[in-house]
Amino acid sequence: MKKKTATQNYIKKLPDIQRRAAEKLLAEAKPFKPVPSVLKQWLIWLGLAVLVAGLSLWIIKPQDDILQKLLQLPSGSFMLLLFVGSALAAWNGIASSMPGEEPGPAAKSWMIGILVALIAIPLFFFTSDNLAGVLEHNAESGWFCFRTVVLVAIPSWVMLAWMVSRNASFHPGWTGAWLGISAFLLGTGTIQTHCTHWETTHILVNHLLPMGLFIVIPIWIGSHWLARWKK
Amino acid sequence: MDFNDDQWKSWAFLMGQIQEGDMEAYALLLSEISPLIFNYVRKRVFNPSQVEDVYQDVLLTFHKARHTYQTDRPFSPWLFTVVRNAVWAALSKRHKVTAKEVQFETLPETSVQIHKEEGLEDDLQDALNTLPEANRRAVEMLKLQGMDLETAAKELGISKVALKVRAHRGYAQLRKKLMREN
Repeated sequence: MKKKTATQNYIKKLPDIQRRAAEKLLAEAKPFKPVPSVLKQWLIWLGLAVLVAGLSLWIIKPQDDILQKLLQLPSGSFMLLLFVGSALAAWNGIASSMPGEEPGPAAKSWMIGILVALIAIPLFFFTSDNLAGVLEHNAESGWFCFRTVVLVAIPSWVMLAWMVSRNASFHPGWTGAWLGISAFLLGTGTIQTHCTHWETTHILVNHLLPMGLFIVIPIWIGSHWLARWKK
Repeated sequence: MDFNDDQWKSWAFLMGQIQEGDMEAYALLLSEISPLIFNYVRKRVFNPSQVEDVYQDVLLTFHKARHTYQTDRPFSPWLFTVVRNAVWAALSKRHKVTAKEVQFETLPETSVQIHKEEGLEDDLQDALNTLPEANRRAVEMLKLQGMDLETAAKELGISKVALKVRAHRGYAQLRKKLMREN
């Protein structure tokens, strides 16, 4: 009772419009749990990403000479950029849903740079193959890669989006896009660890195209799901 | 709007208390930041009749986003990000409603004139009677009784935006019915 009087005393000096609005909020206020910081959420994502990618690789097995590939400059940097890109996009996605922490132009430029490099490296450094050949062998192994990228991306996007849906994104479409890029790059990184085809067209079509084709889905879902906190 | 560092720090501290469920701290913070937010809104909303509604939306957004504030971070970037985005969202929402409303606003008046000229007031009354109660009241108050938005909204005990939406739906339904009959 005493506390109630104290709260009313604070706001009674406000002009009518402001007092009414403040009274309404105070009446509606319920206990709540603050969300963890961007870093903590990102570390949770990291744990989940390791789990999803690790489980997938446990099922599909990494290629035999993966260590050798990691030590070669083009393939090693390609793999590194996939996982770093996924981690950076996850960070940007989480940050974009926390007011005052939104990624700035530098973070966006880095992400664009990584995506450009991920297309440029296979184009300039990997063995060239032709589209007809890729589509021909797709029936055997290509669609497996394509499918795996999507199958790894889905749980990792859902888990990340579920975590981020507790935050307060003012640009939910963008947040959905960041999370989508992170999930698809994780999927591509996972399949790249398994797949022995290091040819340009195979990688562009079967490892990277899923992101280009389906990125609109996380944007669309994100713009609805991640905007629910406003309602 | 000059606030010193101590002021911002004290608000950041209050946010921490609020996150621990201290209602007194919430009341104190609201009493101190409400004028700041209201002035921010007033400077950015050029239509005076919208200031109150936008302010309420902004404050509600602040309320819904308060769980995202990190107590170890400065309060002002968080607060202004929330307020800036909330003002923008509230204005664009109202812009959409107004844009739709303008197209229909003139239609019932034209219909009334035509009906008067042709002696068909009964048709209009019949059409009005078929509208849902809430929409019919909105149309009657704004168009037949000529009340202004604020008075009508107060009388019905709803916000101006809600009244506009009801009236807009009423105009659309009325237009459909009258066009079908004619």
